[in-house]
Amino acid sequence: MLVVANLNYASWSTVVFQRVSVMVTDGTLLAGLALFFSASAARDRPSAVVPAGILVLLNAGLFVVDHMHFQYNGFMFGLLLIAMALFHRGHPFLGAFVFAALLNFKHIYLYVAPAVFVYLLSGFCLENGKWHFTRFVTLGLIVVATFAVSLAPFRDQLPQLASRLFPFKRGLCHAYWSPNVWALYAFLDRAAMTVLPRLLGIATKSVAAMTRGLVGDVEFAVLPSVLPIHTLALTVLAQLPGLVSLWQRPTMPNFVRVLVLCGFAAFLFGWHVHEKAVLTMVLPLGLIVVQSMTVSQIAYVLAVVGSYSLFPLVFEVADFTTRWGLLLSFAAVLWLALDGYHRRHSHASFRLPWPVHAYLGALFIVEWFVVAGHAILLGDKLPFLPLMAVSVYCAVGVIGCWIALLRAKV
Amino acid sequence: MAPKPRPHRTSAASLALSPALIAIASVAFLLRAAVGRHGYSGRATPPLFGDLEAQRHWLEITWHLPPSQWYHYDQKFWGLDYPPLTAFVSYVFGAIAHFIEPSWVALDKSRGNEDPSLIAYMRLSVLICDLLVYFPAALFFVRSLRLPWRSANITAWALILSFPGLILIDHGHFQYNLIMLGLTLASVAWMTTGHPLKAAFTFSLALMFKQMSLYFALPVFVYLLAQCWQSNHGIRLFFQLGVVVLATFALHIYPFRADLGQLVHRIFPIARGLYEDKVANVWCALSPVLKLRDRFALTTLLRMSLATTILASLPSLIGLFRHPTRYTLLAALAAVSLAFFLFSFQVHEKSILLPDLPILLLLVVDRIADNPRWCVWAHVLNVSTFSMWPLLRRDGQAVPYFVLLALWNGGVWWKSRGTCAACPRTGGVVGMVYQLAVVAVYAAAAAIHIAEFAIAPPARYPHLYVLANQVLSCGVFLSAYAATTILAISPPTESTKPKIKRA
Repeated sequence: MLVVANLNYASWSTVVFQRVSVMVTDGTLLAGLALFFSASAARDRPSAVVPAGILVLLNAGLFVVDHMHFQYNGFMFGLLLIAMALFHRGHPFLGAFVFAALLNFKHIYLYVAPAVFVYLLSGFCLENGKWHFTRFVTLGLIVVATFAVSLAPFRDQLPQLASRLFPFKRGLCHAYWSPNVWALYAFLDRAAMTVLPRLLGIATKSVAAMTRGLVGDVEFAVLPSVLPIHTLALTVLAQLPGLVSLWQRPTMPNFVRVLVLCGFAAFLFGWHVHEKAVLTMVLPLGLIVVQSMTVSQIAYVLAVVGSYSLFPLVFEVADFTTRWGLLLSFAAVLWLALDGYHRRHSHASFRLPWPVHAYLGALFIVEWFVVAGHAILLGDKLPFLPLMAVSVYCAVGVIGCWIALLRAKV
Repeated sequence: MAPKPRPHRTSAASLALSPALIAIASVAFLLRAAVGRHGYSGRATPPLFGDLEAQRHWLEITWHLPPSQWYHYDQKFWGLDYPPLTAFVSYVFGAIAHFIEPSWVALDKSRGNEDPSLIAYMRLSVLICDLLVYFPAALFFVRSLRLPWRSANITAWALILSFPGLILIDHGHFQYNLIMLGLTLASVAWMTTGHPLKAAFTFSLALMFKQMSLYFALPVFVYLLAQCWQSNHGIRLFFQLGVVVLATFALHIYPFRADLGQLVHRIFPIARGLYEDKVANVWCALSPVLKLRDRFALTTLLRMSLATTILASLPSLIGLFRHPTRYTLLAALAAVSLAFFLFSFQVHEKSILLPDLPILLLLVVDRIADNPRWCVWAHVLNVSTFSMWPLLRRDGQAVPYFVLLALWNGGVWWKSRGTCAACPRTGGVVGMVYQLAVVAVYAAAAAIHIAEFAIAPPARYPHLYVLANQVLSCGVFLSAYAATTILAISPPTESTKPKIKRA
C-alpha cells in the first residue's frame, strides 16, 4: 500500500488499515473532552459531559466526513479541544504549543487563530492590568519554534508549499457551494440573471453553470465580482466584534464563543470554503453546549443543519438510508441528552422556537426535492438546482445561528 | 439540590412519538441501514446468485404474470416456494419497482441484475417492511406487557429491536422474516390480552406469509384451545376461531384454487431430503457418526422426523394447556419451535430465528422483572447468532456480525446486577456446572473463530469448522429446549410474574 505509483490502490487490508487509523486517531477527541471537563468537574457541571460527548463524538457530520468520505478531521479537532482544555486547566504554554502544532497539521485552523491570539494576549499576558512581557515573548518563541521545526525540511520549497496550501485559483465557491454568504450571493446572481432579462429586456452575458461539481473560478453575471482581498477584508471585519468582546472579557466560555464566532466569520465570508469547515463551529461549541438554553439551542440547530449540509458528500443511492439513519439518530439522541440536562438543572424542557422547528422539519422536504422532486417536477432542466437548494437552505440556518451566537450572553 | 424527578408513568399517549422512542427507532434504523451496505446472499455469483436475486425474481414474475403462473414459471430458476402472502407482497414491491425503473423487473431480461440502485431499492423494501410491520408490532407487544414505568417500556423495545440475528439475516443476507415475526409478535400480544380472534387472524397471516411459522402453530393452537376451554362460551369461540382461520386461508388460496397440488408441492419440498446443508439440528449433528440419509428410505426418515418432533413438543403443549399464561406461552413457543428446529425435516440455519423470537421475548420479560434467569436466554441468543456465522461469512457480513454482537452484548449486560445465576432455587452443584458450561461454550466458540481465521482446515475435512460450529450450537439448543420445556411444564410461580420495579 505504500508504493507511490499505486494510485487507486484499494486492497482490503489497505482499506481496513486506513479506516481503523481514523477511528484510533479520533481518540484525541475523547482526550480533549476528558481533559476539559475533568477541570470543571469540581466546581461546575459534571453532567455537562454527556451532551458535549454526544455532540462531539457521535456527530453525524463528523461521521460522514471522516468515516464515510474519509478524512482525519476528528484527530485535528481533538487536538484543538486538547489545546483549549490545556488553556482551561492553566497550562497556556503547553496549549500554545499544541495549537501551533495543530496549525502545522491543518492550516484551516488559521481561521480561529485570532481568537486564540487575543485570548492569550488579554487573558494571560495582560493580567490584572499588568503587562507580562516575558510571557508574551515565551509564547512567541514557542510558536515560532514549532513552525520552524515543521517547515525546516521544506525551506527550499516554501513557494510551492504556499501555493498548495492556499489555492486561490480554485475559485470563490467550492465545487459544491458551502452554505455561506457567497452561496446566497451566487444564488441571487443566478436568480437575477434568470429574471432580469424578462423584466428589463436586456441580455446578460451567459455564464457556465457554477455548481457543476467541478472546481474553477466563478464569474458573476449581474452582481459585482468578488476577489480574494474582498473576502479577507469581510472576514476580518466580521471577526472584529467577537475579538473585541474577548479582549474585554477573556473568560473561558467567552473564549469558546469567540473562537466559534471566528470560525463562523471565516466560513461565511472566506474564499473557497469547504463545507466541512462547518465542523469548526459545531465541535468546539460542545465545550459550552450547556452554558445556557440559548447556546444549547444554537448548538443543536447548527449541528443538525451542519450535518445535513454534508449530505452531498455521500450522494450514492446506497448511502441514502445510512446518512438519514445517522442524522436522525444524532438529532434524537442529542435532543434527549440536552432535554435531560436542562430538566435536571433548570427544570425547563429543551425546546426550539416553532419557526426554527419548522425550518428543521422542512429539511425533509429539501431532501425529497433533491432525491425525487427535482426529477419529477423539472426532469433534466436546471441540473444545478438540487445542490443549490441544499446550499441556500442551509446557509439561512447557519447565518441565523451566527447572529444568535453574536447576541448570546456567555 | 433539586429533588430527584420521578420517572414518568406510562399511558398510551405518552409512548407515542416521544423523543426517546424516536431515538431508539432511529438508531435501530441506522444499524439496519449500515448492515445493508455490506454483502448479501449470492452477490456476484452467477448463474443463480442467491436469496436477493430470488426475491427480485419474484417481484418480476408476480408483476408480469397472472397468479396461475406464479407457482409454475421456470421452476429451475428460483421457483416461488412460500405461501401466497409473500407473493402478494412481492407484487406490491414489483409494481413500485416497475414504476421507478422497468428494467429492474423486466421479465427474463433482468435476471442477475446487480445495479447498485436496484440493490438499494431491495434493501429499502426490507427497511420499509421493518418500519411498517416489525417496529410497531414490537411496540404493541411491549405495551401489552403493561409495564409500569416508561423507562422499562423503552428498554424492552430497544432490546427487541436490537437483536443481531434478525438484523443480520433480513438486512444482510436478505430475507423478509421480519414480516412473519412481526405478525407473530402482534398475535402473541393479542392472545395474551384477551383478543383471541384478532390473534388468530394475525397468526393466520403469518402462516400465509411463510410456512416456517408452522413451528409456532401448535402452541398457538393449544393456547387458543385452552382459552376456549376456560371461557364460558367456549364452543362458540372455537367455531369463531375456526371461521377466522379458514376464511383467511381461503382468501389467500383463492387465486390458486386450480392447482393446489403444485402449491403444496412447492411449499413443502419433501423430496429434498432430511437436511440439505450443515445445520445445528440433531440429524445433522449425528451425521459424522450416523449417516441417516444414506441408511433409511425417505418415507421412513419422514415418519421418524415427524414422530420425534411431535413427541418432543408434547410436554410443553400439555403444560401450556394446563396453565395458559403469557410466560408459559412464551416458554412453550420456544420449546416447540426448538423441537421443530432440532428434529424436523429440511431445516435451514436461518430457521433458528423462529425459536429466537420467543427466547428474545423471555429475555425481555425476565430482564425487566430482574429475574436472574435472563442470562440463560442471552447466552442462547448469542450462540444462535454464532450458529449462523458460516452463512454470514459467505455473504460478506463478517464485520457487521462482530460489531452487532458487541453492541448487543454491551447493551444487554450493561448495568446488569452481578453475575449470571441459575434458577434461584438450585444453587450449589447445578449452579457451578452451569457456570462451567457457559464458560466452556464461549471458549469453544472463540476457539472455532480463531482457528478458522488462523489455521486452514485439513484436506480430509474441509468443513471441519462449520461442523464444529453446528455441533456446539446443537448442544446449546438441546439444553435450551430442555430448559424451556421444564419452564412450560412447571406451574407459574411468583418468579415468573413481572415484578414492579421501583426506579
